Amino acid sequence: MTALAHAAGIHLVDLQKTYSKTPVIPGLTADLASGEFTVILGPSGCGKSTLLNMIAGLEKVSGGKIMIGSREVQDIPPKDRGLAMVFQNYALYPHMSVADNIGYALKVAGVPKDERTSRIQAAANVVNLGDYLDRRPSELSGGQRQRVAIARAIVREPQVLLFDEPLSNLDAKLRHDMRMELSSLHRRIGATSVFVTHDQVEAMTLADRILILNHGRIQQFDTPNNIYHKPANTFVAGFIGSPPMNLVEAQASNGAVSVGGVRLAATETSGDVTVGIRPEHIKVTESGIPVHVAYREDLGSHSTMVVEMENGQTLRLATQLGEPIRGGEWVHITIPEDKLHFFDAATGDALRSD
Amino acid sequence: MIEDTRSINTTATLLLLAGCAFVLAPLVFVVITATQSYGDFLRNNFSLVPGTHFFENLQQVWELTLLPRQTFNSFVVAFVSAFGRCFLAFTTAYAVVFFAPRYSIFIYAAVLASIMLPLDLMVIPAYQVAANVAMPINAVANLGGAWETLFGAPLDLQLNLLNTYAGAAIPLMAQGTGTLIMVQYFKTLPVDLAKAATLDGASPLRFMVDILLPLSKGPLLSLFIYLFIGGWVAYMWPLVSISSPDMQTAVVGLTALDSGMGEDEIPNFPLQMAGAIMVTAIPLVLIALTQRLIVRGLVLSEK
Amino acid sequence: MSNRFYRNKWLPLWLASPQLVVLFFFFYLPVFLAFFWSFYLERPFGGGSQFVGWQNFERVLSDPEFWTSLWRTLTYMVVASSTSIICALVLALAADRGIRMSPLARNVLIWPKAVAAASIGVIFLFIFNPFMGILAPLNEMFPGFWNPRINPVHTWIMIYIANIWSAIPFTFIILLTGLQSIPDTLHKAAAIDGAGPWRRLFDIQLPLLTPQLFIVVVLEIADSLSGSFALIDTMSQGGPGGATNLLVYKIYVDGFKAYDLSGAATQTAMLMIVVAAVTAFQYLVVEKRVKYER
Repeated sequence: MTALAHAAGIHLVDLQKTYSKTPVIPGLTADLASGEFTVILGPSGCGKSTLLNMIAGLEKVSGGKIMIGSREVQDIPPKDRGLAMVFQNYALYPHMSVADNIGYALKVAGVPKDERTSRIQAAANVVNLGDYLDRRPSELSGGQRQRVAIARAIVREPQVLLFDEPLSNLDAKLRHDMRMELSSLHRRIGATSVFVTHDQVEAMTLADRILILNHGRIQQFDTPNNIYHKPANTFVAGFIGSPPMNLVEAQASNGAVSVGGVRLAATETSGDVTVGIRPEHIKVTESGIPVHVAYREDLGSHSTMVVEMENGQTLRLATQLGEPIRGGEWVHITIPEDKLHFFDAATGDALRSD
Repeated sequence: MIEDTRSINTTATLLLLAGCAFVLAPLVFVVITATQSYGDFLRNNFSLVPGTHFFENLQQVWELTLLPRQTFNSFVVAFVSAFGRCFLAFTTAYAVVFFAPRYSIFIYAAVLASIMLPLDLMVIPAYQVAANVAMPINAVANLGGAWETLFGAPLDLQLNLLNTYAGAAIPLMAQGTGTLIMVQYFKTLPVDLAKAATLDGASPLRFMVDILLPLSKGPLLSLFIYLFIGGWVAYMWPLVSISSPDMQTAVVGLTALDSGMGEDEIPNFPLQMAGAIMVTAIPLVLIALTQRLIVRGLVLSEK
Repeated sequence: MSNRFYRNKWLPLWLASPQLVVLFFFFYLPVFLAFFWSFYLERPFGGGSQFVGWQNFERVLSDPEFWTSLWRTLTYMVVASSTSIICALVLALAADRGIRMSPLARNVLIWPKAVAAASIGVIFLFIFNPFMGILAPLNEMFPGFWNPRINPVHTWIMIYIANIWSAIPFTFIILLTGLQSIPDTLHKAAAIDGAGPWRRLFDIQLPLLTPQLFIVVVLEIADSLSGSFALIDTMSQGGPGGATNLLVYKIYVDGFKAYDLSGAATQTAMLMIVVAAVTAFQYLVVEKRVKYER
């Protein structure tokens, strides 16, 4: 099984979903390029699973269009859309062997037995399960079951692969391994992939582009790098990064923005703004803004602190280990001006001065 | 356990021994009596000393009574009613659990209502229905004399189920416990299975046959055994709906075993007890062998 | 998460239709007919039916035998279900202690499930036979000590014992499962709080067992009613002197022996209302108070 020549892009045009008059997705337009690995990221209830199910054809579309390649598919049954899906709980058929699980779609489609066997074998080889074809899912480990689910998806040689939080049931170590496997699998088979998750680490590591969704609306659709460094609004800023970005209400006047009288940076705007600063960008220095360390946690590789400015404003910060700081001490911090993010205090949208 | 509870455990052991003795004693009496000859029995009355005529008594039951034939009838009625109830429970539960249309709630309610009133409470009208199943068709056709005006005479279709296997078994199926159990089970299955099957190209019916049915093998089997025994031990409906002795079920047949005797005559109790063994053997062996399945079935029906 | 995934409009109806057809013919139609005949009188010699209004009800309700039978039926439901539940509860509590007898008892106590109530009626009728059964020697020493054919109290004792015998398995298993699902940590916590075994029985086990107790009460009350027919038909035929003539048996006799279709149907209709009311009451009122989140 080599790279799929027939991967196809997905185009969502004003896609809508309404449940008993409550709009879940009020109208969503996005283009997912052919062969691209897109991660849909958002908190639970943001509509990301609904969006995926609509692409798969498992939920009816309330309005708008879904195009796969040049075909309009919203009224085509799922099996004819040229896509396959990997489910959260694997959804393997417990009474079937691994081979039968992988080959069920082919059997339903009436593929002759010989061809079926060779395609099952090929798909199983891709995920290194060639020796497990006779086992039942219950005899496999969590990671192996996940691979069966993937093999079942790729055996149909789909143009589009959909993933519905496929890693959320694995333990931390396995999740890490599966992330790497998925990543290399994607490079090998090259199908357009859509991956739904609420885990930002999965999103950052797997995605070519991340589509961040909240209340059914796209908050930002961009590369992981841009999502991290140029969050489009306060929601994205607060959602990505761990610990999350500090978002501070500040006032801009006379060419400077300040928090409770403490000057942070020069600016051209005026009025109320929200200032974002990532915890890892705040430095503990000899001089600077005096803060009181309210709480400190050592995490081995680094430590996080909650500090309190003299005006009562609290900030989270993450530092390398080594600074001999204890809770209750007073220290000085410096906030690099070029690392600050500015957002409209009313709308939350990023203010771009550049 | 937590503290030293020897005295409590002794009490518990005694209680359980008493319980087992209470359950086993009648069965032991049955077996002992069945080993005695009628003559011995008349001479000694009730005795705990086993006799030597067990096989003779069984042979007599086999040759002189209708019980063998009636045991076969019991098997047919129990099997058909249990199989039918499992089938109906499976398809109905699938319809209720896996499909979106709202009207399925009313179907479920209509099925659940049937649990409230067992068949035994309505043998009189049920007997009437079984006597002519075409009755409602006649009634609708003759509404306001419609059929008579059109064809000259009132419609009078006759389909009598009394005295048939169908008439004995089908009314036993009109009870929703099985559906309730299957609905509870289906609700524990991940919906993603249906989604995966849909993406694999399987239609809802194909999903039912290829995925759901094999997955339900365990619950269906214990439900089947549970209902099979229930059909076997049914008494009132077979008694009412079957009048000819060679169509009768064994449980009813056993109660009629002594009826040929006069008031003053002492019934042939050893023979009757040998008959009781024949009637009870199949379900008892089934229970002893499938202990776990039965318990699971009982526990399932609780929820 | 809801499992209602398929959107087919009519397929579920087709799937459920066999069940609905069976229910129509042997549940809903009989229920309807019971009420229909309670307002109609069957003309003799197959002459059709005649609407008589409340006449059937007036006839049944003015019959003192109906009222005694109804009262007897209600008493029987209460006594039969409570005796069998208490016996099963005691046994379940004993078996829950995980002693050496428990596995054996768990097995043996289910056996009565395989014996038809009618068969155990025949068997107990023999065992309690005043002249040939186990109590015959006592009868020889004290003539008239035991005779269920003449003394209604003896008949009732016999019937109740047979009822307990055949009701044990179901109740026992459900209560035992309920007891075993009470987490062991609760026992330990209560023991550390200073509660002894008796205290724990009343403060922990029984309160947490209420859902199961509720279920068995509902089911036993229904079962005792329909199961009573087999016992009475085989053991006493309503006798002696009508003392065990429960409503279910009376309806059977009125309908199939006395050919009083309208009278039997009227009593059936009223029995249905009573049973449906009792069940509905149990579900609507009692059930709400016995649910615990575990």
